[in-house]
Amino acid sequence: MKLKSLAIIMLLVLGCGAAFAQGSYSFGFLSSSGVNEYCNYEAFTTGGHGNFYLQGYDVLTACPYSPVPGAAINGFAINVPISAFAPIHGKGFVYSDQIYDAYYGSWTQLQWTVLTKSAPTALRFGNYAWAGYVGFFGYEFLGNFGFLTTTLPGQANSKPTLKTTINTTAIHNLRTSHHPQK
Amino acid sequence: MAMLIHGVAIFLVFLHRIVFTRSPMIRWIVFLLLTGCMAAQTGSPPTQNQNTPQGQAAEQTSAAPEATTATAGGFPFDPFPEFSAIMVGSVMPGDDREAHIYRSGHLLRTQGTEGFVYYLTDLTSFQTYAINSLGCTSDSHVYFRAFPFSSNRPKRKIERVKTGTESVDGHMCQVEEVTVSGGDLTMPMRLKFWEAEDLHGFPIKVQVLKGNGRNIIQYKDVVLGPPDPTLFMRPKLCKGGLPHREDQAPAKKKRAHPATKSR
Repeated sequence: MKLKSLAIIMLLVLGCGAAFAQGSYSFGFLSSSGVNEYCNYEAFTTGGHGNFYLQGYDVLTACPYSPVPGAAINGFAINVPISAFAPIHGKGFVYSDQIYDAYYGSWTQLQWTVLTKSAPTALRFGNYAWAGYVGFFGYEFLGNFGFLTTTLPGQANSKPTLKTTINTTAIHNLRTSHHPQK
Repeated sequence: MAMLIHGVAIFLVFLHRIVFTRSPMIRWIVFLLLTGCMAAQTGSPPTQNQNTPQGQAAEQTSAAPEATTATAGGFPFDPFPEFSAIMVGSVMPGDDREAHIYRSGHLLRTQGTEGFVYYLTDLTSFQTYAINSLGCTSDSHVYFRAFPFSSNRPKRKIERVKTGTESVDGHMCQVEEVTVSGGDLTMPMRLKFWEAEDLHGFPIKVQVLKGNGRNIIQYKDVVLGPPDPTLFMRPKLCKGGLPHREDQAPAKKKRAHPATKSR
C-alpha cells in the first residue's frame, strides 16, 4: 500500500513538474539564406501549463548605437497551420517585441511581432524557424524571416553580422539621431 | 403638402378599420409590418440634395481655400501599372536604404533588405512570395517594401486633396494629401504624394503623415513602361498563381528600355 501511494505521489510530482516546466532559450537570428546573422538575438523563458507563456528580451548589446541593451518581449505558444502560408509552420511561439521603440529610442508607432521556433532548424528550403511582421497603420506586413542558431552574434564562429532583424535605419542615420551633430 | 395630409388621413382610416374589425392575429401582423416600414424609413440616410444640416456641411467642405483642390478618384499609383525604379526608404522612420522595385500589372517585385532575397507581391491577392537561393516561400502578408502600393484595396475609400506645387530633385511636382479609409482599415491612413509633372504624375516621393514625419519613401531612376517579364517569374517550387519558370535560381535583374526616365 505504501509503495503504491509513493508511486502515485511520484507520478503526480513528475506530471506537475512537466506541466509547469520552464524552458530557457537563447537564439541568434540567421537571414533567410542562412549566410548571415543579425546583430540582435532572442533570449526567453517559457512556462505555465504546457509552456504556454513566453517572456524575455530581444537583446541588442551587439547592435551598433543601440540606446538600450534590449527590448522586452512577451508571447504565447502557437501552432501555425501549413494552410496559413507563413514562412514557418507547426509548433512555436508568437511574441510582441518592443524593438522598434527600443532601437530608435522613441515612439515609432511601429510594432514588431515574431513567430519563432524553440529550436534551430536545418538550413534548408521550407524549414525556416522565425518570421517577423511589421505592424503599421493598424495593418500587418511581412518584415523578415530566416533560421535560428545557438551561436549568438559576436561569439566565436558566429556568422558575419548584419543590422537588426527589423533592418531599420542606416548606421550613420542612427548615429545622427542619437548623437545629433551641432 | 396637401397630398401628404391626404395620404396620412387615408392611412389612419385604413389602420382604424384593421385594428377594430380584423382578428387579433391579422391586427398584430399588420401592426408589426407598418411599424417596421416606418422604422426603416426613419433609419435611412438623408440624401445630399436635401436641405438638411448635413447637406449644408457638405457644401461647406467643398468650399476649400484656393490653394487646395479636392479630387476624387483612385490611388496616385493606379495610372502606373508598369514601371521600374529605385526606391529609397520605407515605412520605417529614417530608412535611407536603396532597393530595386518593379511593377508589372498586379505583380510588384521588391528587393530584400540584405539583397539575398527578392519578394513578389500580388497586389490583388496580397500574397507575397520570397525567393532566394534556397527556394521560394510564401506568406499571406504584403512585404513591407510593397507599401504604399498595397494601400488601394476593395471597399477602401480614397480622398485626394491637391495642396500646391514643389520641386523634388529637379522635378516640378504636384503635391497631394491622400486619405485612405474604410474597408478593413481600423483607422484612416494619411499620406502625402509628390507627383512629378515630367513623369506624367508618377509619385516620386511619399510621406506618411503620422508620428514624427520621418517615414519617407522616394523613387528615383523611374522608368515608365513594362519591365522585363522574367523578373516576375517564379521557380516551379513556388506555389501560387505566378508565371512559371523551369529553373529555381532567382531571376537576374534587367531593366526595361526607358520610355521615360527620371534622374
